[in-house]
Amino acid sequence: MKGEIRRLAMVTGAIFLALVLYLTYIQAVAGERLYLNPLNPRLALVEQQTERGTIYDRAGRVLARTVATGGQFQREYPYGGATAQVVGYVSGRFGSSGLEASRDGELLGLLGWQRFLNEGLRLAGRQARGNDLTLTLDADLQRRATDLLAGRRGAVVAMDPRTGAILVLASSPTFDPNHLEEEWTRINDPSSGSPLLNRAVQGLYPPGSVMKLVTATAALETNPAVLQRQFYCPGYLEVRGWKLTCPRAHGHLDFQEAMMYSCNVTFATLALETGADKFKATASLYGFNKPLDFDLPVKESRVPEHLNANALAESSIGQGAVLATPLQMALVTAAVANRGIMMQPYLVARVTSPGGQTLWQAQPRALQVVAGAGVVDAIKDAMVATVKGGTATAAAIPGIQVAAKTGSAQNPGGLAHAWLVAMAPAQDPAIVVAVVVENAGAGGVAAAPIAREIMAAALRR
Amino acid sequence: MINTGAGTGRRRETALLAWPSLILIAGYGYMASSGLHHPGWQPAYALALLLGGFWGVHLILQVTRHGGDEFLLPLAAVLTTLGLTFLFRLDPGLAYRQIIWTILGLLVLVVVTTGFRDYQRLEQYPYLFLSLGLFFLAFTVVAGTRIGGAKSWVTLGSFQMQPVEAVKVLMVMYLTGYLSDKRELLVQGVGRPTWGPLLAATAMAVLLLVIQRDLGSALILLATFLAMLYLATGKRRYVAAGGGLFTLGAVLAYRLFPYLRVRIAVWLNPWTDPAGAGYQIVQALIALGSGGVFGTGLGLGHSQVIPAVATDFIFVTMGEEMGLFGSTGVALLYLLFALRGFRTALDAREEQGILLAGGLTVLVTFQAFIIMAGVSKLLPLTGVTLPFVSYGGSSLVISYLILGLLLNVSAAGRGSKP
Repeated sequence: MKGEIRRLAMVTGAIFLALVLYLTYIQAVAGERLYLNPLNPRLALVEQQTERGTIYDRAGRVLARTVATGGQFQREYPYGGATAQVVGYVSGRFGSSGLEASRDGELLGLLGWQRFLNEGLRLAGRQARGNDLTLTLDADLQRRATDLLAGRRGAVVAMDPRTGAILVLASSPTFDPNHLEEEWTRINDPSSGSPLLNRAVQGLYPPGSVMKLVTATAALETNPAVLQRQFYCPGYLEVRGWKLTCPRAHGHLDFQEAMMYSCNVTFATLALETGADKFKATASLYGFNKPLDFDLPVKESRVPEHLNANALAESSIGQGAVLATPLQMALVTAAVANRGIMMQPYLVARVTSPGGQTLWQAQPRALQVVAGAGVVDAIKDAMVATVKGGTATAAAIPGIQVAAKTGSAQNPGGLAHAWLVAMAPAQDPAIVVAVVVENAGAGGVAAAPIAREIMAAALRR
Repeated sequence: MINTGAGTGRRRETALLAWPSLILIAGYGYMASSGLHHPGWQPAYALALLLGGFWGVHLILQVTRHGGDEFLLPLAAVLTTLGLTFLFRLDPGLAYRQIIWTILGLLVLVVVTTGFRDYQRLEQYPYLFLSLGLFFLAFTVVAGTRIGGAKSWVTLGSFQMQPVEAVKVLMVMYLTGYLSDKRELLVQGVGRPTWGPLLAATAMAVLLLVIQRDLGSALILLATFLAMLYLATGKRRYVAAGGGLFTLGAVLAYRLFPYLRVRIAVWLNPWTDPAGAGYQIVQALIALGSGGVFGTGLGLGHSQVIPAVATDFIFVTMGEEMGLFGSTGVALLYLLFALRGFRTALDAREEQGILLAGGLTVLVTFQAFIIMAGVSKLLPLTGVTLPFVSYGGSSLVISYLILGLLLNVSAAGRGSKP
């Protein structure tokens, strides 16, 4: 019986060891994450006792600040609706969103040693203050993009393809975070078009012909000789008894002309030649079907897992089950602009302590090498031609060479979604823009002027 | 092993009792400075009463030359005083009632260690214990009140008791008598009638599960039963067979009873319904996480948002306010208690002593484990109390009764005659 007691004691020791290891995980490893969970009622108390940090744009313009009125903290958003979805809001009644939610820990000074310091300050009855955020966002461009979208539903993303810094992340319709209480019923009215939704990162749209950048990459990577080939477009392509059509018969044309006039038949033919596996693999390199690590929650853009010939032909022109966020298509364009290297996109450039000390700084880093420089340069040349004499002439800026691709994505909701992705100056792109306007028709008509305005404003300075 | 008779052991106990005394004094400091008050009570009275209680028991053990283990009382005292401090922080009213329960528990301890020192005499009537246990169970089933999902309370006037706490001890005492009696037969594995009472005991656990919805007590009873069966026979296949039977019953119950399915679903992912069914566990995890490694400090946490925080979830309050160090410390205190309990069993000279000490040790330790693991989502949550710590008269008094029995077995094993 003595042996049995010893064994029982060992079993007891083992289960307590498991408990202690598990508690270590919960309290030491996962502790901070659990603490920062929005369901934590402690955060609301901290909120009342802490002065939330200020959020600045890239030039130091204030996007969100806390002012104390009558002993009560009030959050102000000087840019109002223009930055509403990116910066977000914070409210005792309605919770929080945007960066106010995702960077809660920094803005309230709750991370690492700062938490202990601030707890100490609170215990001593002193005012604790959170950290400041400096964003990569350009508030002027952001406001201009919001104005250009006004009255329509859509999104604008602008970024520096060389670093991944996000300059514009605009979504329309929008709301005024300064008057949340008054606006709340309107915001949640179904007819208002979900202003809380950040369409730039959360809106999934069929990308339409903009997807041809991905199709072209897959085709050129497989066979560079495509550039010298002649194609023929009779206005339709029969794929297993199903007809894929072009708006008109383009007749004889080469690769560049196919891009210029956005010929569905040519790109579907190329995709069918290249094969579903290569197409999916290229899309995956560009970031489809993968979660994206970003400062705001991003919906995953997707290409269907199983592609038969029909689905492949549809997907190659951005229709069917292919869905992408505006940010995703901006990233595709940025990879083409940056010689095939996709940079990690980021929105927060710097975190600064209340004392002005830099606590954290974003470092630009490559996210993925998508394609060879030769391949993407050929695509870029075709995009330059598209602006010169193709579907995207409305994106041209005098004195600056622009490269662009239009898209008009068919959807069940009415008119096509108008897309345009562009980069400028084409020789050495400093800015990439992706624009989508819902149910606005042709991309070259509805989206191109918006992209042109943003690029011109960005490059003029 | 220190086996130097009653004198040195009790002297060591004197030194060890300094720790719960320090906790009490710290708790008094918190009481006096927190501004929390309960009408009709002075913090100083509470302090004097508790210090007097623990030291009084120690003195009585010394005077009566009780040779029992010198670590068990200080371990229980540390747990109880910690529990009282946190109870006061959560609800001063409950803390004062718990003080009365503590004193009552200590009285039971004194009665058991002075009046019933010869535990073998108790073991002559196993069927009395079985009948009593079954009676309590049946009584609860008939006249019980359902509180917090489990129908395990009996209300008498303004008093509420949990007879199941007593049933657990009665079960261990019955099994001790029965197993030591029938051990030979069980080891050889012959004779059909010997299994009848054992099956009845298992059935009792399943009955608890089904009728009273007291999953926690059922698990504890079963684990204790299997551990004692293993101690008596040394046969793992009995344990495996018992565990298998219970698993079968549990699977069946899972299919039959929606509340069990809900509970398992909440365990697997409480985050899907953080405002409803998963609220308790989600908030418990957040509280533990918010405590981090060092804790927020006494009184500075916010675990009071969790329902049943003073009883089943008090471990979460300790984890938040004392941090990982505190929660691990409490877990290790129970492990130490277990090791001293098993040491008592090892030193016992007769089968009864081994079985009684082993069974009671498993009872206390396993109950502590499943509630600590339950509130931290390591295991599905089962509503049982944390022995010596949680608020609850039945639980606390029975815990001290168990302590008394363990001390008696230990004293007999060390050879000091009463």
